[in-house]
Amino acid sequence: MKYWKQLILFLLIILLGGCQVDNEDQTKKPSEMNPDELPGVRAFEDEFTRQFLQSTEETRPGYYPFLSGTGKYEMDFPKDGAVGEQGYALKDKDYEGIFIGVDAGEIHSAIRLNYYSTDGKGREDLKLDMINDRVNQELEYDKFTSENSTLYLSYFETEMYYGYAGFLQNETENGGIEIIYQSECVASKEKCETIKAESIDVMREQIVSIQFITKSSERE
Amino acid sequence: MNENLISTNEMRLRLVDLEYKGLNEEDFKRSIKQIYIEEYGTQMNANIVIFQSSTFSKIPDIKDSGYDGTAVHFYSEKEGINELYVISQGTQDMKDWEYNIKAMFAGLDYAQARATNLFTVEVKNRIKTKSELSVIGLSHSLAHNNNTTAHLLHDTFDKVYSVNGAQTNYYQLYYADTDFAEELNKRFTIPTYDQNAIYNLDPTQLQAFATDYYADKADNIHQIISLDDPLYAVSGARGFFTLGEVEYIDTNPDYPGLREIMDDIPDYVVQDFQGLAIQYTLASKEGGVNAAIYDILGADMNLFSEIDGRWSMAKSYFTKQSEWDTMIRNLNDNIPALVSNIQTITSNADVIFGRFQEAGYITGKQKQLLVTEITKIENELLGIQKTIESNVGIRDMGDFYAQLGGDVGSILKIIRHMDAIQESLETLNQEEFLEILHRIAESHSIQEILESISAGNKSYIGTDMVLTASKGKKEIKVNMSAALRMYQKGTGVLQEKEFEIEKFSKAIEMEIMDAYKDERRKVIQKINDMEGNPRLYHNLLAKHGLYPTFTKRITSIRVHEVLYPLEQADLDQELHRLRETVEKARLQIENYRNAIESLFEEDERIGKQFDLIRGL
Repeated sequence: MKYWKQLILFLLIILLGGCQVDNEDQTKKPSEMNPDELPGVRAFEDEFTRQFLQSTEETRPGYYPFLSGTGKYEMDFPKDGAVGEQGYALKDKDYEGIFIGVDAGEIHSAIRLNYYSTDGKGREDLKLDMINDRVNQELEYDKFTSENSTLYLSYFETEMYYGYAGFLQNETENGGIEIIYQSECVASKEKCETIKAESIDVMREQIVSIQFITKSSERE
Repeated sequence: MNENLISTNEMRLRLVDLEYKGLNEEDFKRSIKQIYIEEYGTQMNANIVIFQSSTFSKIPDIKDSGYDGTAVHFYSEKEGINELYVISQGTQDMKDWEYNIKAMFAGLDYAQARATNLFTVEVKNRIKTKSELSVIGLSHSLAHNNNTTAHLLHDTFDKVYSVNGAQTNYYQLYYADTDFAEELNKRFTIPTYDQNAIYNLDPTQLQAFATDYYADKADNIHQIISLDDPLYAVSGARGFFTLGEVEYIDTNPDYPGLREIMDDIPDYVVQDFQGLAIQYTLASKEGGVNAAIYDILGADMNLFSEIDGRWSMAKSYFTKQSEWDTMIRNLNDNIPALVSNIQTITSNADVIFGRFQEAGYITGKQKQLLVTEITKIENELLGIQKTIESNVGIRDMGDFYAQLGGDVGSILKIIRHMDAIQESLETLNQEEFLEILHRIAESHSIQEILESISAGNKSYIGTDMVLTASKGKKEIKVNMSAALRMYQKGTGVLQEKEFEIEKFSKAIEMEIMDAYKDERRKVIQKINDMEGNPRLYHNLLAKHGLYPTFTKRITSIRVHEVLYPLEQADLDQELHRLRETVEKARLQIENYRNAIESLFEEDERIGKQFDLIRGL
């Protein structure tokens, strides 16, 4: 009797093991793949950045699915971006500080994302004040409400950069993300005038793609 | 914008120290008042309100952020006092501390600075005074980094005072303050997209740039640093820059301090050393050497202790296979990093421990022992690494029996290595080494700073104030804090006792005298009633037989009463004796007070302090 059970178990293990191997091949994370199989873009060339990317399939042209280290939010990650390893901070699921450099040819950008798990609703004004302190400007923010979150966003320029400062408040549970996205155009003055408007749209789309993963939508 | 109330270093230091004592609001207030009387010899003429971050239960942004601090508001309209002191403790528990100290050394995260500002703004919003409020940040250790970073970014404070603080970090500010980052990018022509570029710049230049950039705000930062503080020793590490006016104090004149030693040792070595030291100290504090091994290597020493040979190993392997598997996997994951950490230290052992020896922290013999044991640990770790590597090879072959045999054999090998490591760690855990560590750590404390501050006849033991009196050639030291505490508690207890005696005497009056009078009154009343209305007591004849033909009547009642006075209820003597004991005790306390006062005849403030402390 016992031997039978063990044998069945053994067979099951072999079968399941076999299945797993097959599945793994299909859903292999980019970080587990052979570097030769990866798209030849900056995001995948950087080993540290690769860990955050969930697939080599684009979410939209030029963007790959990014999952934050806390697992609390996701976004489209630009193919020309890379996450700074030395400046990356992660404290369990409580806090995450991330710095992304984007080298899109004539547009150079830096994106700063700070996630705070304890940010509750109702103190957004205070948070926006603190973002203003960080960018050293007195910005007014537009408010965009979606089902799960509220985005506060403001366009701003400095001597060197143009970009957006924003705050994304999770509306279903505690959690907030400070967003500062700055770009500079390194092309000629005339060319910059035309490509700048386009890049501002790119920035907005990038920010809008940041979505909280709430408990109900959490994937296994 | 002046802080008038808490104006001396001693007062600030003692206030910061209070934060660590975990007092409730009432005790916190009383302690502030006592310290104020000790330091200034007068009573504080301001109302005190305490705000503790832990009580902000409805605001997760503060309560759950890991920030721990207390804000003390002093207010007096009449005296023109309106001052808020925010004492940051930085972190709540050991786990936070470990993360925060690592993050801070790496210059990563400014979440704690943000929480400091959130807390302060929230408290400010709750204070409804009309006059201008001065906000002062007080801190020790890690919290200096939090308070100062908040100050630089958010103008949280008008002034920042710190002791033995962890310094601000320009990497941290590069991520938090985009204005600073922009200026820095311009100055050093850093490409905006290069996410790691700042780490390739010369630390000395970055330090100079950051110090210059924040120079204006530095005017309002004041620090006291012990030259023997181990945190000061590692503050030369890359990333840190010191802002503000700094008063350096040699708090342990027996030793030169560790700063020079650390400055001689390369950055990456210090970093590895730090990492190991922090991890080991934290884990072993909680559960000894075994816990430290588990924390660092992920190996459960309890699992080893039941093994005494190949057979019991095989048995344990079958019954606890998942535990063994986890352990092998943990070792496989953790050992390479640890080996590289340790190798940095062993290959620099002569520099590190040699300088410690020169500075007198350790003897030549101790140095030899340290080097030997750490080298041993390195060799044992390498042994484990090799065993696991060969084991992984066997597993990959896919042969179940080979895998099993391979594991049991290699686990036995690993056990031998682990035993040796444990032995070495036990050697290093000897009292003499712990004592050295303790001596070094002491220099980080507020107490040691206070103890080295002495002016005139005033000095400190711990955070207690001590006055020295000269009688002839003799010097007599009096712990004033303790004396005042005793006087206050003593008079308090006596007052309470007196109150109880009075209550007792009143109770006697009420319970015995009044009851007697009451009873007597009732008896007399009844007599009067019977004598006045004899007919009403007709039924009393019933016991003599009451027939319809019975014609006897009561026409009059006369009572011949004899009411004795209350006897044996006189407790005056007992009360007197009780009152005497209070008097005696009071005399003793007053004698004690007089003795202290007479030691300091010239100083009228002493007598006043005793008077004031009674009122608290």
